[in-house]
Amino acid sequence: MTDNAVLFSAGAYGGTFIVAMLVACLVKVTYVLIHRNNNSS
Amino acid sequence: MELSLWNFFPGITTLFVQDTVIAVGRIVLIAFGFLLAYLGFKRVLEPLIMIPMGLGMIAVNAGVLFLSGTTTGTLFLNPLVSDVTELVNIMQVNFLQPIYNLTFSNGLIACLVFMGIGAISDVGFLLARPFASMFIAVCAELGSIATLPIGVAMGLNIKEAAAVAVVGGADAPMVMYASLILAKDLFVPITVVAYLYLSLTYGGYPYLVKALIPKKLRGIEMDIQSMPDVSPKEKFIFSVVTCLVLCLLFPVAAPLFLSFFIGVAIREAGVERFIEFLEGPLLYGSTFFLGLLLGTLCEASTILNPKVLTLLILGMLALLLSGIGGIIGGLLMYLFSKGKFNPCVGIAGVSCVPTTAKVAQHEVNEVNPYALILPYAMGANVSGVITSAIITGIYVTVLSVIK
Repeated sequence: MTDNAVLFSAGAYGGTFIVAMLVACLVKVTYVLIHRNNNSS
Repeated sequence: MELSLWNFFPGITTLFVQDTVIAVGRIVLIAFGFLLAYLGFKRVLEPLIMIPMGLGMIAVNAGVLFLSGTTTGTLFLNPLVSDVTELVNIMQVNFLQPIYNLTFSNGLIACLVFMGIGAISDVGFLLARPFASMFIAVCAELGSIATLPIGVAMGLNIKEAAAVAVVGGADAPMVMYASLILAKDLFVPITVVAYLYLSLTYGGYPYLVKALIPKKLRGIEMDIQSMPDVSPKEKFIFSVVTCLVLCLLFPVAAPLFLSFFIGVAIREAGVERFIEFLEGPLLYGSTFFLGLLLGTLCEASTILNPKVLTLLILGMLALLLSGIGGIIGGLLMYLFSKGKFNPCVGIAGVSCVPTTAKVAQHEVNEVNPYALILPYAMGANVSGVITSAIITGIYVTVLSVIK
């Protein structure tokens, strides 16, 4: 049971890292797109 | 004659009729409620929560009466009623029962607090340095992760262990939301532990920072001038898109995501009337009732659970590990940036907005009064709210399907 919990926790940490970095990428993409539009107009 | 006289004072009489453990528990909880209210009054603990909670705790443990025959109870609320007819009847009697059933047990009050937090959170700092902020925030979730297997090893089932592990995210409405879904029987003690410990972070984390970060590194000045300006339009689009993505990924936690990001979106859209409502009456009204209801839920017969000691240990451990994780993240950023990043920012990854960011800035100023790290610390702080929501989403989504 504890081994399963350790595996689950490790998976949850990995999942959190991936989603957090996805959010960071979203931020970057939003920033770049808005600034590109501002520059071209 | 003597019996009739005692019947005039059921609050005292019930102490002699109830089980000794419960009776002693009532007296201890009355004293504890007084202590919490007093520490709130002295500003040692957060007064917004502790004063209503302390008074609620005193009143509910003092105001026990005979309901029928030798059955005892209070006129505050009964969290254990589930039968619909009984619930409708009891709502006519217990004065806090409607608030409990309509806002508390369904997690609404946690969402209302989250709307207020969203309305006071400036995501601009996160948008200026997204990867650094998110990296630190993920490191500061160490407690939310490591406490789960420790809780299982200490005898909790995996849902209970996950609910108490969320304390490591240092976001009390999130803890309440998770424990309501994952460990309904333990949600009162878990939430009380969370609020109690979160009030103590302001006192405890500075020692952790001093112990783990050398004085020389604490005084590092960071480059604030090069931080890009982030417009309200960018912040608004970020809040809408991130809300969409996180709701798609974790529908079970969608109410929390919506609540936080609607607060952010309204702030950035500059809808003044709504902003005033969210960050004023809604946030403080919800916080007041949250404190009062938590206090009245701490009746001896409800809260005295053999698992409470385990929860106390795990809650403390979760916050300690998260603090250590955040500082490790700060130190790693210091190494990656070749000495340009102040590792004190790491403690702000623990998402107790804005307490831990203030702790980070205060610790830096003790060594170097000219160093400003608050914008970076606020970025990590707001990212911490998002990573706590992500981890809660993962726990709730995966574990709520387990029987």
